[in-house]
Amino acid sequence: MKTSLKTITQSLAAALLALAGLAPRAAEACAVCINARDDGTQLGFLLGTLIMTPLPFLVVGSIAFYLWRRSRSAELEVIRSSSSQS
Amino acid sequence: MSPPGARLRLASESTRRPVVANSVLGMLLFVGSETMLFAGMISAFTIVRTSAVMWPPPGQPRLPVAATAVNTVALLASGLFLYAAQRAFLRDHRSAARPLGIALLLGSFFVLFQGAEWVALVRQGLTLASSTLGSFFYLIVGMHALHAVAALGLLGHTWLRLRQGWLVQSQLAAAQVFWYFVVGVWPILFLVVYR
Repeated sequence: MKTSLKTITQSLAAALLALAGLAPRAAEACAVCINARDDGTQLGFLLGTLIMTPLPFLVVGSIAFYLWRRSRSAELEVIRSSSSQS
Repeated sequence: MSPPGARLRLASESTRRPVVANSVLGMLLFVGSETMLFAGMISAFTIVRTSAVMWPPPGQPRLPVAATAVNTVALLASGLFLYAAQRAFLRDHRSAARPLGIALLLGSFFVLFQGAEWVALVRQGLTLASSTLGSFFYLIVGMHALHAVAALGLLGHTWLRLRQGWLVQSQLAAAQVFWYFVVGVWPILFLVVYR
């Protein structure tokens, strides 16, 4: 019973999405893109997307890379000191 | 003779310690979130600017590019002096006071110069409500100035601790991360907003 309810819900959601795809102007999926009537605005949205998309990856990646480098140099330091002791 | 991997495991198990001080890690995360804040504002500004028929909007003054370029050099120089302070701190703690003080003075000069620039622009008619240029200019540059003032406060506290002989490496490193962010984000804002 539980599985069939889930299937019905998923089918309804898929049908609604398909309907929205058939009538994009009525759906108006993006609240801001519909205002991009001229080339300048479209370029602005494109540049904004280009700035914003890679940035989270760059920020998190940079912090992770910094931590990895610090960790690696600390491990090498431990190896060096233990080698010199033995 | 034990293999290097086993030795490493044994050594790291016996001497576990954080690779980065908590203050530095916290500052890195804060700076990361602030990077997203500035990126959002730059993105919004880019959309408004590219969709504008005329830029700057009619009746609005031009931003002082040459004077701000000089001010940008002062800010970049403060970053270099802070780097010199860190190098000096590793050699001899007391010798870091002078470059750190110069970095503090250059940073203060930048903020005061920006304040004087704002006063002149307000007199010329560029206000928060006068146009989209005014709104974005005061929002973006003002947010940067707010960060600069906060970072200067931290640098000032760091300098005082150094003079008193209480400064620890992690506090200097955290202050460095914050100030480098302020210094690093400014040329981008300058190129985007002032051009």
